Order: sequence, then structure tokens, then C-alpha cells
Amino acid sequence: MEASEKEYARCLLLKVEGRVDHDTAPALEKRIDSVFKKGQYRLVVDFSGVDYISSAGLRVLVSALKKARRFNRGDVRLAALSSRTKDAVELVGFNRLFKIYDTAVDAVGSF
Amino acid sequence: MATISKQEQFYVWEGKTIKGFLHELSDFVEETGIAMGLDERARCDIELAVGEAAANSWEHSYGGKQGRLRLEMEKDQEAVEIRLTDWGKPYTLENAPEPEVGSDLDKTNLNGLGLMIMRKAMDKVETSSVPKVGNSIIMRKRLAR
Repeated sequence: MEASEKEYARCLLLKVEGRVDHDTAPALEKRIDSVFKKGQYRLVVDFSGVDYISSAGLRVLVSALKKARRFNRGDVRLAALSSRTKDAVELVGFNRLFKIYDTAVDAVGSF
Repeated sequence: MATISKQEQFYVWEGKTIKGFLHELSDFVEETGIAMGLDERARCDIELAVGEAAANSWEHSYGGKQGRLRLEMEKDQEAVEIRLTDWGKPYTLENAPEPEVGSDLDKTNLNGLGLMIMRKAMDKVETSSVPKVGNSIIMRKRLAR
């Protein structure tokens, strides 16, 4: 799993590539925590390069959402889910927890 | 390096729970699903379920360490059956909690999320363990008509 960051005026865009499974989810968690340590709690996660996400990856996203919202008035929004990733998110009902956008541009613009 | 064997509508992957094995299993499931003529939806669901089952074996049976794993995929006229076997410490998923996922983040509890995914993605999930032998998870997915 690889990730790259782009800072915008009102949020940070984190583009993730590859798989987010039990093997690679810790790396995503570490990356998100490093973004939060910089004081940036408004995060868009761009999933256009992700073809698979497991429960481990989904847990990382929920943990990030809790951290962003609870103390820091931030948010974690999801963008550009592939059909497989979207299926996983909807299977567990995470579409009720997260704001999800078709494109990273839309998600960044929503802040 | 995993070994893969194929007979008509019966495919086997055997390997170890080493770095990258989940990716290798995903690829095997996808390629086997295509060879069996399964549609995209079925392949997606099976990939999700197998990923969760394999991660459970790795975590609970082998404590996150290296161990042997065998995955069988067999198709009959009505369904695809998946059998995942490990030879590690016995564990049970029967008492796993139900996760709570709603629109209220504070009430969200993700314990048991992996098993929930398996049960939603597949039509039937059964687990069994034998002391000093290992564990198996058997899952079935009905074929689309």
C-alpha cells in the first residue's frame, strides 16, 4: 500500500494505492495518524487506486473518523470508491457513517 | 511460494501465512472465480469472505505468525463451496459479538466485523475446530440463476 498527500486550503487529500488488508492496514493507520499529528483533522481519503479493503482497513477508517470528529471538529470523507470497495463499505453499513463522494474533487470541495 | 492445483471445478491453494499471502489468496480467488464462470458480484463477495476468514486463521490460530493454510474452492450445480483449513490453535467464532454500525459514531462497535462480512457476503458460514489438529471454515455461495 502506498499513500501520497496533497494539502488544500481547507483539508488534506490522502491518495491511497493498492490493497488495504490486515497486512497493510497498520501502514494506513500510521499515515493517517501522522497527518493528524500535523494538526490537520479534515481529511479526504481518495480510494481511486484501491481495489480491496478488508475489515482491518474499515476499522482504521472508523478510528480515524472518531479521532477527527470527537475532539477536533474535523472529519474524514471518502472519495472515488471502486465498485468492489464500495460493496465492502455498503455491506457493513459504513455508508451511514461516512460522507462519500464520487470524486476527490467533490470531496475536497465539500469542506 | 504457494502451490496451486486444479481439477475440473475444484481448485486448491496451499501456502503459509507469510507477508503478502492475503494478496496471493485474493488473486487465486479472483482467477478461480473467473475460471468457474462466476459473475463479478459473486467474485467480489467471495474475495471479501476469504480475506476475512484467512485473516482470522492468521490472527487467532497462528497468533499473527507463520502457519500453514489450505483453501479449496469447489463448484457444483447450485453453489460454490469454500473450505479454509489451518493447523494451528483451535478457536471459535461462534461466540463472536455482533458489531454495531449505525449513523451514531459513539455507539459504533466493530468487534466481530470480520465475521459479519463473511456472513453477509456468503449464504452459509460454518466453523469447526479439532483440538491438536486445527480449524476449518466452510462457506457456501449460491450461484446466480
